[in-house]
Amino acid sequence: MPVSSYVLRCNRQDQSQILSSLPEIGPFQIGERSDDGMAVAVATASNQASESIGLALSELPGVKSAILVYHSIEDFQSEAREASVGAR
Amino acid sequence: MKVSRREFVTRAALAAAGAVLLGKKPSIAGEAAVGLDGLVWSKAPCRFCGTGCGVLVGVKDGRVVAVQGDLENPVNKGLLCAKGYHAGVALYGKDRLKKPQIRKNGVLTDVSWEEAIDRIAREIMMQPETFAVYGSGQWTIPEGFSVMKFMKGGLGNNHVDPNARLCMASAVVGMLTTYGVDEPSGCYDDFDLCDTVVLWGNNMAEMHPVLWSRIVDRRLKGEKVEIFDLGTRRTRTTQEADHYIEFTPQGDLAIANGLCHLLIEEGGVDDEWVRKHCNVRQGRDGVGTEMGWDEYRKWLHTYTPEYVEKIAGVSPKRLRLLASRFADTKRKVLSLWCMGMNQHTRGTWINNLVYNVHFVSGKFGKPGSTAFSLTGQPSACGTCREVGTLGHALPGGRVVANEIHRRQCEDLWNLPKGRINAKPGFHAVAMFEALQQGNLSGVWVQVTNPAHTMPNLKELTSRLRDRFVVVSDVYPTVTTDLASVVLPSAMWVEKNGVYGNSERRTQQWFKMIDPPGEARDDVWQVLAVARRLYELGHRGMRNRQGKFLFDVKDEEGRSIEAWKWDVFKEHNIDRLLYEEYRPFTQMKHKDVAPYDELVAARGLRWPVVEVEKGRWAETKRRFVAGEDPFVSPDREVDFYWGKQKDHRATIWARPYEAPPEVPDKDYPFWLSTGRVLEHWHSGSMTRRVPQLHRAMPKAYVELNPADAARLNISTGNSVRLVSRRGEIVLPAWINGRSVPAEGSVFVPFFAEESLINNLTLEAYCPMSKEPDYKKCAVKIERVS
Repeated sequence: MPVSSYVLRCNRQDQSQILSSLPEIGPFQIGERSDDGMAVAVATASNQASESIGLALSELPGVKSAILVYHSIEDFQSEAREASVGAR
Repeated sequence: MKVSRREFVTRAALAAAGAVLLGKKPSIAGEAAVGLDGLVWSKAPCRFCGTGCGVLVGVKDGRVVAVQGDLENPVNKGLLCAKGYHAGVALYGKDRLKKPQIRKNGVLTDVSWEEAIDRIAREIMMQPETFAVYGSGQWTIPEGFSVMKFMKGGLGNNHVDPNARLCMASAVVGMLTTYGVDEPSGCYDDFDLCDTVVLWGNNMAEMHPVLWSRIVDRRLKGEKVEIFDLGTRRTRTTQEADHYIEFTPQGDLAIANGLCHLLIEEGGVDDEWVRKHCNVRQGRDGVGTEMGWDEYRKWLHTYTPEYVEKIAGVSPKRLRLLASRFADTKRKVLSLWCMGMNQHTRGTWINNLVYNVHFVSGKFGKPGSTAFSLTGQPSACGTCREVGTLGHALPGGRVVANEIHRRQCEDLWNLPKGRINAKPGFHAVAMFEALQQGNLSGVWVQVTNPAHTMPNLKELTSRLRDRFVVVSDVYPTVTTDLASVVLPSAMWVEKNGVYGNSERRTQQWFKMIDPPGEARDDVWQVLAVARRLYELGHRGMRNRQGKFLFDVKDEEGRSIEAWKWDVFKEHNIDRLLYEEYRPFTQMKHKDVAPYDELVAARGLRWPVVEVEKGRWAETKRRFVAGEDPFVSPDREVDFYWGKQKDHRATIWARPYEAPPEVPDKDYPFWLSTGRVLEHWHSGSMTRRVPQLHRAMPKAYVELNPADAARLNISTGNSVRLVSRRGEIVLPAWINGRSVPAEGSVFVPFFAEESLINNLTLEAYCPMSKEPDYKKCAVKIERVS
């Protein structure tokens, strides 16, 4: 289950509209914001979902570019199984 | 409150994005560090293109599980491209090579390392003088250096050449003939300072996307940066360009001369710069004869705007527009190029001619104004060009034909006098011709895939099965399919490494994880074969004292039996080899930084000199006073390796010359080949990344919409392409990612099931020996 974060390059005045559109694309968490962009992160069910989200972000009205910054391919399912070993 | 692992990682990801957005300094140092997400993060340069982006690699339980751009690295400032973000995934394709294999009864069969190494050594022993190594711009510096010592210092022949011959050789010879020494003067800082960017046949948006974003992001911030795209097809780069200047293939030679003609005749010459820093020569080779300025001016009279239009198809108005940017004394102009200029039957000349334009206008050696050759591979510069893994070369800018150079290298390598052979080895195309003809008995291929990437494949690689071919690689390829022995190699962060990028930046990384199965470092493979040859009695594997050639010693001076895998992996042999290499670089003012300085830095651009005890300084711009430590402060610019020993660069009078094969009535279309954003060269790694493979699963042929309409071809139709050398059937793509000029087609070369190089021409630049993959003639027809 990949986790990815992006910098969305966009003007400050477009950010509220972008924020309202994000839930339609995925369960984003919102981070730092500046006059020319904002940081967002999302965990997805599969790599394919992650790819689709990247594309959808870059096509959002007001987004000049969506730059992938962090990409984790850690396997959380096996993590969870290991974590359950020895658990009560 | 309990935080799930996923939440934890998401927060770390968000923090990383925030840091990039706001330009905050991250917490990851030179050495490995534990991040907020609990991963062990370490730095490495990306292992794909020549940009040299800094990557932070997150490791957990012996696996690479995350990647982020390194904000602290000045090359990419936290950004990566699609390939870079998936560099970690590329390690884990399910068919990684994990066991050595020997072909037995026609079938590659798993064997022990001992058997494989013994077999290679015994085969070499039979005909050492006809055994070659074909290497790569993806070799690390210690890998290339160890091969050079093994072959030129040990085996006694010079048959070493890299795949960089196929992509960078014209840039190299261009620089050697222009200012007497390889590697660019400028650096990436100039990308942040220029007013106008001129791209010479360079689809930077796909090939160097992070550097491209460095330019385009300036526009997003409101800076005025003007982009000229000179090309033979409209690409993603064209979409961002202010001016697209389409030209007839090979017409770039006429365009560059036409620009100089206009600058001289209509105003725009920086007379003082030319007088102080240039000489003028004419000729077809690298020596030429002296030419006066007035004679040069007269020689250029051929290249009127009207003549350029006739040759290159560029209107006088467009040519004048471009010339006006060079003529503007206040404007900072940056020229960039890569394969479009280098893969050219007159690749050296067009490199010379672009320097001419910058010299004549005085736009060189100044912040934001320079002519800069981009590199295709991560260490084409650091390894192939600086170590000198070429048939004619020795490390540190030395050449085998020069007796003094041979003695210098024999001294540094502690070899008996006369060990190094004076006869240059085969260049890449000649090497494969020699293998076809039986003039070479065998070859060791490392980190590259020649049965996919050589031009005119059938003519150059069809007899490899008849020779003794060793292939060191990480995945099966069309070249391993032809191998006698396959050696499984460690990849990227599975080993220590040092790369040198396009802007002279040397970057180091430490091994982070173990390679899979029995895969081992290429450096170890070379040491192990050398040792076996020593044991079998090969005299070349002994140094001046009769000890083993690779008499590697630790810091206390104790010999390390590095040919033993268990010993090798316990030591940083890279550091020892790199430090052995470093004195070579000081002979031509290419002083690379000490290894330990590289550990602490995000790469350092050579020459790197110790300005006070323990403090080392890098160089942004070579040959420039106040920046290059080898230029005295009283000189503005000093081309201290100028060929004429006059501290000047050369303006060359080089004529237009038609390409060797042009479209005619039988083969009416130009064929150009190249790369795509998603795949690295022959795709052997990136096609194992599901995300990249899905994004670009197969090859295609791009046609101009007018041609497609005339031939009744639509997107998705099967199209047969036929050249005088071979044919292929591909799906058509019309108005897709790129649009070739009318009368031309483009095919990417990444797909091994669609080997476009069966059609390409092996004609090469006679000076650089680099083949032209951008121009040959084909016919096309729709397949019903």
